[in-house]
Amino acid sequence: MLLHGFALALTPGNLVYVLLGTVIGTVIGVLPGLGPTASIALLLPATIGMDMVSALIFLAGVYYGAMYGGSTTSILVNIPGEASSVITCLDGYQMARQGRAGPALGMAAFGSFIGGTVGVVAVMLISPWLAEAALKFGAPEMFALLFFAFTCIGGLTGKSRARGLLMACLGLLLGSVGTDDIHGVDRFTFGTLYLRDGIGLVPLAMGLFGMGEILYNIEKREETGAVLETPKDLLPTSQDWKDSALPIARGSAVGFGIGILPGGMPAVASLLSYAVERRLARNPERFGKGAIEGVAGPETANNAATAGGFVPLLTLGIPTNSVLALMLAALMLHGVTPGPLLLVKWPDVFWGVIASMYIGNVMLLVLNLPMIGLFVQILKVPYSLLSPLIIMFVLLGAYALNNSVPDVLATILFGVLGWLMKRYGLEPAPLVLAFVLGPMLENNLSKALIMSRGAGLPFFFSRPISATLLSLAVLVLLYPLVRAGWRWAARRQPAQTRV
Amino acid sequence: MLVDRILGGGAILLAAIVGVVSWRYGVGSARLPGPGFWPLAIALSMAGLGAALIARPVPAHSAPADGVSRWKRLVVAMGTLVFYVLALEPLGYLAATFVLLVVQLRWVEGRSWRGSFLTSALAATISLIVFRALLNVPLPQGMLPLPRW
Repeated sequence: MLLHGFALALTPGNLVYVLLGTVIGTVIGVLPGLGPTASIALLLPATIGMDMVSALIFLAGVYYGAMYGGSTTSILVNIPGEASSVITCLDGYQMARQGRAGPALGMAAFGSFIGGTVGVVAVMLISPWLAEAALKFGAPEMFALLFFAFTCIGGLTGKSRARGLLMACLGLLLGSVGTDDIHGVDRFTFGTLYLRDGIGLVPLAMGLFGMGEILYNIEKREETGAVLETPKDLLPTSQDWKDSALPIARGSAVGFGIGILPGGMPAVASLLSYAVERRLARNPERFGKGAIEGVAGPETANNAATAGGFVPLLTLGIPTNSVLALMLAALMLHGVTPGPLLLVKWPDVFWGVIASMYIGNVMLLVLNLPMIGLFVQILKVPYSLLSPLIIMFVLLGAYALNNSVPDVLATILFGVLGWLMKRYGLEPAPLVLAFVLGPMLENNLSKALIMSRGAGLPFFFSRPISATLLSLAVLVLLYPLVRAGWRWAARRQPAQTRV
Repeated sequence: MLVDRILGGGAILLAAIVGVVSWRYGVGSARLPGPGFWPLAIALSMAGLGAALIARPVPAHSAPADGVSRWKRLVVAMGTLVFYVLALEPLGYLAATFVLLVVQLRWVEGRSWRGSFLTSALAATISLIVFRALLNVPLPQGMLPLPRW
């Protein structure tokens, strides 16, 4: 069946589509503010004239290309195109500053390829079975998983957990702005129409990361000193590979596992992968200062999650994120209704999509490895020339998102906040990730509480999956206290023996 | 040290305001949480973390970054950003972007006049063509009506 899929996908016409899709996707993805969702939305109308399989193949190419394009800007100029590449900024941008943009980009490409491949193979092998299991994941389980992911945020930033968690709380608060989903009440909108839809992720992320970084550099950079070192290697070294092998393997597993859950999104997968790598690392203090594991793991995980997301989409007709929702729209545009019957009624579509995802992955690798040299050249442009141009692109991207000036203003305001945070050693990543998780956390918490019929917390512990996840979360939260207790006990012990 | 104390104090203040506002939205019950339930929970966590920061500030070595502050350049840069927001619609994308770039290149980054003008004109025009003609984003035209593509 898969071979049939490949036969469909590998016709010269479709190969051109996948190539075109990946190129266009990468180019659009590199523009700040335009992530995979925007790219697919822009190109969806272009597929109306194509036949169904070609259209899906083209869009899968756009998707993969845009994802990779987003990682590229995260690494090169600290501007995450979408939520899932926020994590890549942490170590990827640091690597670029140390002249290691090439290995970072290369490892992101290889990691994405491997994660995507593992994801596709897993989708193929276990998709029907997994879809059923994933349905057991209700609101309480989802809340428990998201809460667990949230507790990992505090550990993202080395210096102070309290600071990290405080920034995360600020992110949650910003995430709660707007009309609340369950009651339809406007919260913290100050009577403005703009805030009723909530604060946009793109203005927030581009402002805090990209704009904040630029303002900080304008204030601090020496007249002569270059901020970025000239790039050295273009590809990952063998040491990089040694460091990245296990993170990539773990990232594939984490990513796919999260991806198949309804509501599990690539951003959560990349966050969890980063947290796992940091926890397992021999010297975790390297994270945030250019550790290649911090690029390899999350980049792998987000692509594996992307592939995993096709399981609920194709077998249940449930899109788990906005990009997949657009894919669903594309399917329906061509008269296909995804769901349990898809495999029976349209086997061509199912296997065609799977094969095209695989080909898209290969194409991305083949296309982007030679491009790394070109991307890295961007860093050779003097920063005094680059910085105004980045400002222009960030503002342009913010405007282009909804054609709205308030989005531009929001980006600038978050830019000022980002500058202040950087100046005083506060990390933007916990804020942005909590902002993404917040609405989902609240939604699932409310649903679970309503389901519990007043039982409250014990209800979460009466369900095995949510009980396990919540216990893990409590462990993560209490770990520093336990460790401090240990150290204290260890310090007292010798004193007592002496007495 | 001082940063953490100010941060902690600010967090408690913000938490207090958010707490009061959420209470007004209606907290509801564990059976049916109201719209204020979630913000109140966030406010309580914030207050707790704020108190923790005041009680145990991070040791000073991780405090503010080094280097000389060149605040004049920063003020100019931020000023142009404010100008951009105000001018984008009345002046149009092309003119507003051109001014933004010239000021950033010439006064913030200290590049030559000639280079600043050339780069700004090129960058503004090329980005306009890419976004308007290729991506179909209706950038504001302002006082200069642009040809229809």
